Amino acid sequence: MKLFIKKSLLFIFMFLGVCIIIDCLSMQKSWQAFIDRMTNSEGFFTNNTVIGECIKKVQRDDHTTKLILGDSVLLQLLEPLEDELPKDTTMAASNSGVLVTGYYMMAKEYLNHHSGVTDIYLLVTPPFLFHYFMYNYQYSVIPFAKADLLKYLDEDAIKMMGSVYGDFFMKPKVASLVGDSGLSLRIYLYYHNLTSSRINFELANIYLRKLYELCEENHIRFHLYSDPMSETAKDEIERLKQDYNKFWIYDKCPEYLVNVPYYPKELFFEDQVHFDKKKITTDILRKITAENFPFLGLSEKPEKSEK
Amino acid sequence: MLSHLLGFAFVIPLITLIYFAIPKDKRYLWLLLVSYGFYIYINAAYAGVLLLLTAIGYFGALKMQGDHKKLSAALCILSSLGILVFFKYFGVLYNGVNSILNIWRLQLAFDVNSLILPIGMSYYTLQSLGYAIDVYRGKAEPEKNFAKYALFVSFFPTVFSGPIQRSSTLLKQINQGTDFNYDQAKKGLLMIAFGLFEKILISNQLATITRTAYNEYQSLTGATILFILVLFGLQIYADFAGYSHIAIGIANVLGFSLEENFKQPYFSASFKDFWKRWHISLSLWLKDYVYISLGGNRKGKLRANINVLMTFLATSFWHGFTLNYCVYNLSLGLFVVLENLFRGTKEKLIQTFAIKTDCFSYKLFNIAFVFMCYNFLWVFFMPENMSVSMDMIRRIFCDFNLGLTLSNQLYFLDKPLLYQFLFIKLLVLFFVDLLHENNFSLSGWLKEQNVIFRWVCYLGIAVMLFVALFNNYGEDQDFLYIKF
Repeated sequence: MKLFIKKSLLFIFMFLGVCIIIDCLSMQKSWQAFIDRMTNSEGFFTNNTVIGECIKKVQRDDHTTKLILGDSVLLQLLEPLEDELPKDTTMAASNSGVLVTGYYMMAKEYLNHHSGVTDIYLLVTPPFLFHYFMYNYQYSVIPFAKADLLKYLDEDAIKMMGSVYGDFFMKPKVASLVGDSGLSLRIYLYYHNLTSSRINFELANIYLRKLYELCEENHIRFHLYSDPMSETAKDEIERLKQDYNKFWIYDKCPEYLVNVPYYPKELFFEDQVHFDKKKITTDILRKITAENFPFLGLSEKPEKSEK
Repeated sequence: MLSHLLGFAFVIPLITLIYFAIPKDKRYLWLLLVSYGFYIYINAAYAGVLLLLTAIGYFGALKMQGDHKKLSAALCILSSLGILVFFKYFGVLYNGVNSILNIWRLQLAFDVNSLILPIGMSYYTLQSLGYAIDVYRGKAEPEKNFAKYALFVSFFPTVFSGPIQRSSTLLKQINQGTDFNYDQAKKGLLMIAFGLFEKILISNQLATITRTAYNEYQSLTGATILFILVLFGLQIYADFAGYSHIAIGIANVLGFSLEENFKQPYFSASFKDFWKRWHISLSLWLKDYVYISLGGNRKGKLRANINVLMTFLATSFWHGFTLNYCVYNLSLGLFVVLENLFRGTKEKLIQTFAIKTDCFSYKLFNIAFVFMCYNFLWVFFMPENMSVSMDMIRRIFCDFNLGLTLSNQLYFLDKPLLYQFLFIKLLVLFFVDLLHENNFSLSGWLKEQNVIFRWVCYLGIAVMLFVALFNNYGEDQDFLYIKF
């Protein structure tokens, strides 16, 4: 019996060692695809190219003076029109999963790489600003950890996010490692009990204020706008107005939930948040953008600006 | 599923350690506590039913030693069966009474959906009945220790889905007590690993295919439907045999030796042989306590064949006594009966056409024939509705269309990788069964190899199983036979 127990313990130790080796191999580019395929982790792995690209854009030395930040709805609106945007504007729309902390980090990085900035625009769909999504660790932490931008967050924010994601997983090196492997990310998401919480409300409140104050300190105009929404969202927006009243930034941007542009539900996808690609053409997107966001300098007719 | 299995992986070693740390004569008490603990954890509401049936079996057997042997036996058997029938068929009776009451716009107040069959009830009831009948027939002594008898009925590795145990095996070992046996424990662990391979890597994955196909069967050709039935047959085999291997493996680790429940059934060369290989514990139970009680083959060939059909029909009660199960079980019986009836004709044909019977091709033909016949019958087991079964049969015979199947219907799940891995796993299962069919013991062969090779094999198996837990190709589903 004793021999059996000793051998069993040795076996368990060796087994764990093999598992760790496989996990480490899954972080190597040459092994990644194979191991992700074998463990069906392909859907979890994210280089998160969109957010990574946005971070690179804000770091690019392109001499722009205006920054547009926003979520996936904004990305859907502006990505086809990016060439038509004024040459003094950097479009860094990504995903609401980055949370307000992500917008803040990108704004800070933009200011570190650009001088003479005049405007920062934040265009987000109100429900995404106020609510928290499960499994967005790979959006709100991993890309920023890889770009070494988590240093812009204060201790309280790290603690707040750590209370949901796990303090250990808020360490930049750990987050980077997890993000390098679909298998690791899957293990993390599978076992970590990520539940919806009101954390984003507090975090959004604090970091919207920080973003505003960052702009104020640097003599930059801060603009907060709502993305176009489906007419089916009217009731929800009315409910959100009560939450928004409690936000610090309400006094600075009271029109955020007042000037929500609504469009017929038929133009939207099943989720009633994103536009339906089959029904939306570039011309329609241009028209919507020009109607609601004239500051972007787009006209309703196609026009290419030189960059 | 992963969290359940991890919990299981932690709990069983702990249970085993404590078991062997306790003095040998008291170990059964620990196992009894664990068995009831498991049962209460999974199905707390019906632990009372388990205890009731245990009490009926225990006291019934003791009473048989007195003056009213037949009466005690009858009461014991009828009350056990009555409780089983009540839980299995209360829903049917309830709906029947309600449909009559509905004529006067009345309805029974009781919510029938709140009454479900206690998990494992069919298995432990038969086990308890078998014990009572053995005591009545004088083949077993009644157990005087209630706790030991209670453990016999509630033995946690087998209580949920068998194998159904006999007092001459399990109860005997409970009484004798078991010692730790290194080789037996190692063999047990390999059996558990193999059982998990069958369940997770084969059965769960096949379930994904068969369930999707079944929901879309009306768009499938007859050849595809037949192919799906074969896959369903493999799914059931992997599922049930997997469970049995896990149960037997756990028992081995605890020092108990249980009989195999499956012996490569798809290598059967005759219908009769199939029932010596498939769900062996139930087949033997039905043979000993139903077929022989009906007279067996002692009253002539005609009566023997009728008894075979009656025995298979009795299995329908066990499955659930719907029209589909009745037709399924009677058809199984019919195959055995027809084989008996045409044995002579078959031998004449063999002589007339000088067919060689001691060659591979003859054996292969017989195996393939039995395999296809039995897998065809899943057409009654798989759907719960006879009209669906008949529609599937019509498609098989009137719209076979093998060409269309081979052209584009085998990939209807649109996941070719699923098929590639599945094919490899089925090959592994086939290879292992082939080795066992030729009395080759894999665990024995591994024991003879060098330690490094052995450990590499063990690690490879463990890693493969662990990776499979992350593999979402299969549906995470309960063991299929747990519902009976």
